[in-house]
This record gives sequence, structure tokens and C-alpha cells, in this order.
Amino acid sequence: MHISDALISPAVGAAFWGISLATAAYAVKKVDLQTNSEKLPLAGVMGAFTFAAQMINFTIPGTGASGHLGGGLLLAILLGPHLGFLTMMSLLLIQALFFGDGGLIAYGANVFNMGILTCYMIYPLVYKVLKNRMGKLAIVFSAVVGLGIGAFAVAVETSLSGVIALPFTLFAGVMVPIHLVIGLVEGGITLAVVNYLRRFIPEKLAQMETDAETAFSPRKAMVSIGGLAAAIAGLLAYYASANPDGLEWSVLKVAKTIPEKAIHPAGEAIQNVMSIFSDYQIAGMENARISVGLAGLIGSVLTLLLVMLVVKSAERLKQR
Amino acid sequence: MIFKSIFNRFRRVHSGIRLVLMVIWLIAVVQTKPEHLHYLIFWMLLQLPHMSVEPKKWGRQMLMAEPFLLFVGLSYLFVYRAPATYYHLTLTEGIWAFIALLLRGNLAVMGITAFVNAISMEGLADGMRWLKVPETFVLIMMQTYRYIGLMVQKVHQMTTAYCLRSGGKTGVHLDAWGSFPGQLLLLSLKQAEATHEAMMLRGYNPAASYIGISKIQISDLTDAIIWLLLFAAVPFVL
Repeated sequence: MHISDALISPAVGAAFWGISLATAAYAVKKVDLQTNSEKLPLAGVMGAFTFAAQMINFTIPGTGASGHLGGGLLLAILLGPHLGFLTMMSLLLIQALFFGDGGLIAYGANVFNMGILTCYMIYPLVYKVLKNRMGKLAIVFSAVVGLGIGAFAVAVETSLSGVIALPFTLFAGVMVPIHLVIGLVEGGITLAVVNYLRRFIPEKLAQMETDAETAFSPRKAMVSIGGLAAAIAGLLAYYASANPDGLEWSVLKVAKTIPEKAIHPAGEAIQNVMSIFSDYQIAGMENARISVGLAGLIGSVLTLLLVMLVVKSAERLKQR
Repeated sequence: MIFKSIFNRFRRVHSGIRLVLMVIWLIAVVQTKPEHLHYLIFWMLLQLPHMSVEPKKWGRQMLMAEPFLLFVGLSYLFVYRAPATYYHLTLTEGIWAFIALLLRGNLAVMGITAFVNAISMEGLADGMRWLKVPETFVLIMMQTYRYIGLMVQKVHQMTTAYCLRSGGKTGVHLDAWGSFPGQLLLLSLKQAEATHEAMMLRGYNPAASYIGISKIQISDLTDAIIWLLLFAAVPFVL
């Protein structure tokens, strides 16, 4: 999943460098290696182990593609999100400088995809939440989700850079399924390694996991991601491309026109009544920037409320 | 003889300045359009003083980036079909974009390899400290790099031991894929902790730089300025 320099524009690369550096500054504040120097060899060994794991490329049958493990989830489980992230960041830098794997302009994006997403999103919001419910399968599920989201992020970054000629949905449609399969393998290997350590060094592993879990709370992650979602919906959505999406692009290529009439008049009537934010804007508002921003924010909040309602209802049904 | 002296001179430029020059090189290379491909050839010549890497090693590193470059580049051939003429040669826009992408990608890797090759790991840490990178990050990077070598040795030892006991099988069998990395991690962890404790008992300070942050000399600045002037002159001269 390493992006090389030719596949990302300097502007997008700089933006992700900024995000990665800010996250690194936060992680460095949280990790105090001067007083906890015994964690240093641990970080070194885990970094080297993840490096070795990433060298293992395996072919995905039927696709002609190959992939490699990320390792971010294992680092987060054993070292905690902050030290795990810094280890992944240093490992990616070594790969970029000495092994030509992943570029330097693209370094920020690679750190985001394989470090930030795994250590600060998947680990606290997926693995820690599902650990008690799913047991060992939480590792496999988290690895699959992590790699899928990482692959999606690669598609977003290369599309934002204007490098990819294919429509975004087509490119993402190729990248994500392949990485979901890789995620299964990574999940399996991560689970095997954690189980092995649990068998032979149970107290040490328990201590490592406890240190890791107290380092970062899911609530903080949710607040950060909520803030990020608000910023994207409220500010960046205005700059979204006006070009047709993948489906419309395909239909245009085949049918030379996008059909305007719906197949079912009833469905069209319902949508005309319900769609208060048609085309992601508030009707009647003159300032397009505020219109799109407000529509995005309100839509995000409505989505959050609906998801919470569905989850709560599902939990209540389960309890009955 | 003259070439060798230029060669050696550039190799002595301060590592922090080399990192900055490398970033400038990368930004310029990745933005080069198909109509300016000739800039890349002359910029490549500028890299000659930095190139002390064997061609095989270079080739191996460039191969790492090829699969994704090819995947993206091939899509250009199908999507951009309008004719375009550059260098008195008419091809489709897709073919020119494909050639440009491959050249840019490989030159970007070449640039990083050439700049970094002459810097030792300690020199790189030195350069990073000069750029005010937090000590915590530099320490983790140094430790990871050192343990890569240790890990490779351990993998070799364990693979040899496994093959000797496996009754003629080649490679690690699928059944052992769980326990093999687990055992590798366990042994490496124990060795790393023992080594770290021994070093700490001998007074090792992880935060100390045993090379020290070297100061920038006038010669470093003049060499960097000469390189930048040559680099920037290419678009104006050609």
C-alpha cells in the first residue's frame, strides 16, 4: 500500500505531511522514553518485526495482484497507539529512504494510511470496542477494516492529486476488495502472534496490553474523528468535484446521457418531498459556500443520530 | 580525476542540507509534465556526483515502485486517447503521460537513493537532529534500523534450524506460520532486552548522540548553492 512520489501531488503530499507531523508531535508528547527507556528495545524489535512482515508479499489468487501486511494493528496492540504510531512512522521512513519503498513526498500519506488510521482509529474504535464482544476474532475483523480503510484512503489521495485517470469509484472498487483479502491474512498472522505470546509470556503480554489500553481512550478518538468529519463536511465539501461520479461516468460513456426520469413515479414523488438538501445544498440560500457547509454539517449530525438510534435499538432487541 | 574530486566533494555536504536538497529535487521531478521530459535527463546528470550505488541495488529499489506505477500508468493508455506531439513525435496523450509517470517515479526513487546513500545511519540521525526532529522519534528510528539487522540474522538462523529438522522440505510449512513469527518475536525481544540492560549498566545514554550534531560549514553552503543554481538553470537554458 506504499504510495510512491510520482502518484501524489506536492500539495496533497504536504497536506498529509502536516497531518502526520501534528499527530507525531502529539504522540511524542505522550511517549516519554527518557523515563521509560525499557520500552525502547521493545519498540525497536517490534519495528523490525513489522518491517520483516511487510517484506512478505503474497499473491492474491484470481486477481493478478499481490499485497503485503501493514502491521499497524499489531504495533498498537503490543505498544499502545502512541508508541505504535511512532514505530510505524520510523519504519516507513527507513523504508522510504533506504529501500525505495514509498516516496518522501508521499511519506505523510503513507504514515496516515498505515499509522494514523490503524493506531488512532481502528485500534481504539474497532478493536478495543469489539475485543470483549468478539474475543479473538476482533483482531481479524479490525485488521480487515483497517486495511480496507487504508486502501480507500490511497484511492482518495491519488484521486485528489489528479494522478489517476480512472474514475474514483472504479479505482477504489479495485483497491479495496484486494486489501480486504490481505486484511484477512494480516488478521490471521496478528492473531497467531498474539496468541503465541499469550501462551509463552502471558504476564508480560498482559502488562503490555494494559499499558497499551490505558494510553488512549475511545472517547478521545471519537471526539477527534467527529471534529474531522465536521471540518470535512462543513468546510471542504464546497470544493468537491462537480464531475460525474463513477456510476454517472459509466452511464454517460454507454448511454451518452444521464436519465432524468425515475423508473418509479412513486419513488420520485417521495424523494421530491423528502430531499430538503437536494444536491447537498440548502434551497434558497444565496451563499453557496455556507449552503453546502451547513447542508454537510446537518447531514453529518443526522447520520450520527440515525446510526446511534439503530445501534441502541439493536442492543435493546438483543437484550430481549 | 576531476570527476572523482567533484564526487567526493558532494559526498561531504552536511546531511541536513542533503535532505533539504533531496526534497527540492523530488518536488521538481514529480511535477514535470510530458512536454518537459528533457529536464529530467539533465537533472539526472546532476545526480551523478551523488551516485555511488551499484546499479543492481538501484534497480532493485526502483522495482519496488514499479507495480503501482504500471497499474496507474496503464490506465492512462485507455483513458487519454487524443493525439499529442512532443519532440516531433505524435503519440496519444495516454502514452506520453505513461512515459512521464514512469520516468518521474523512477527518478524520484533514484534521487532518494543517491542522496541518502552517502549518509550513514548516524549521519541521518545527525541531520534529523539538525532539523529539530524530536529526539524520541530519532531514537525509535535508530533502534528499529539496528534491530532489522538482528531480525534478519535471527530469521536466517531459525529458517536453517527449521529446514534441518524438516526432513528435506523447502521453506517454512503453512502449519508453522503462526509459531514461527511468534518464536522469532520472542527470541528477538529477549535478546533486545538483555542487550539494552547490559548497555544501560555500562552507562549508555540512549539520548546521547555519539557523533554529535555537526555544524554547517561555508563549503556545505557553497556546494548546495552551486547545485541549486545548476538545477534551477536547466529549465531556462533548455
